[in-house]
Amino acid sequence: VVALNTDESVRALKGAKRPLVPLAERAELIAALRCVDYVTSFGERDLEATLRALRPDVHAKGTDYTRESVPEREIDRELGIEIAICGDPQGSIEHAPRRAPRGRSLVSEPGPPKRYSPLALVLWLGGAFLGTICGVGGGIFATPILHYLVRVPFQTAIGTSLVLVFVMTTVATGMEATRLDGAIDWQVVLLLLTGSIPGAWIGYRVSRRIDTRTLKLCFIAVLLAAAARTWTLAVEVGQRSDRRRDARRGALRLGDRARDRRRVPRADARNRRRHPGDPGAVPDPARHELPRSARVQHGDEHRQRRAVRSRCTSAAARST
Amino acid sequence: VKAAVPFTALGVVGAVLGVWAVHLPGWSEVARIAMTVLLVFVAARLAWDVWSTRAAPEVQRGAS
Repeated sequence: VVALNTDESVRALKGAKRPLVPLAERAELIAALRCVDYVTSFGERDLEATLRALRPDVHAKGTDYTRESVPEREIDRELGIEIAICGDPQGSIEHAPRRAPRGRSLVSEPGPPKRYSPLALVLWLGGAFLGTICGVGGGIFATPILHYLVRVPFQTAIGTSLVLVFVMTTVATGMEATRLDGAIDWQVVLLLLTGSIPGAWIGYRVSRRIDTRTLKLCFIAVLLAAAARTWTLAVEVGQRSDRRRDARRGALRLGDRARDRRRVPRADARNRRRHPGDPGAVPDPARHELPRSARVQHGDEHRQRRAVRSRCTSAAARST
Repeated sequence: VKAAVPFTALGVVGAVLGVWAVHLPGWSEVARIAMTVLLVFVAARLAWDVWSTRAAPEVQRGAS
């Protein structure tokens, strides 16, 4: 049986800004524990009336008390109730707001949920888009968006993100599978499914047992590993495309030179036939140093050079 | 469930756009870089959360 202070008695003990969680919600949380059979509340400053009414065998208090400092120790002694100090060393939620910067709440579990946050929806659209392009799903974005912007508890955010990712990846997989240029390797899918099914089951079981702080630490590790891999992939792909572009340019240059080597003798022979003994009939060497791609890009310059050369050739012919 | 409905609809829209864009040249590289930045940002936000809500050494007495 757990006895909780009413909101009024908490306020009387701790000040006007308390409690952070109202009695109904505290009672709901405590009642959800398997070890709890009954939840009651008391409005007095101590538990005397409740202890006299219930007369339990053991009166349990947290580690923020000692046997000597329990306020109801005299009543316990009078009624023959054993005092038990139990639980882990207690931290205090009071300290979190003191360390928090102004205007920010650093309480681990956020306040009441915001059902419709436009910013969250827009960010999620971007997250789903990026997650699909990079092939990682959207859970990496859905969980923090749901936790920090929609303000649902971390474990609920994880569960909800599983539903979101299931729906969006089903649609994306269907689209990719039906595309003519779809890129799904079904053999790899079947191979990895053998590991992912037990992995997902174990992950689900573990996530229900570990606390939010540990879950967040695991999430950070996964995010950093994914960021490192995504970054190396982006760099690798960038380098590969640079090499491909360079190779393409090199091939163009080689092809141009080969073409120019084939064309130049023919052009030289043609010019010499047309203008025998004319030194100006020899093609402009600068033209052959210019790659074809550059000639295409700088077509005007090329045409001007040709015009100048033809004028020179005509002048040389006239002077001869 | 109510929170999940608009997110599911937008997730589907994002997925459709993602499948369309992944087959366009250049988008994947940009998406990977954006993804890296966002992942590091989210990791930093979570790390800040974990650090700032670490257990306080002092204890408090009072109500249950």
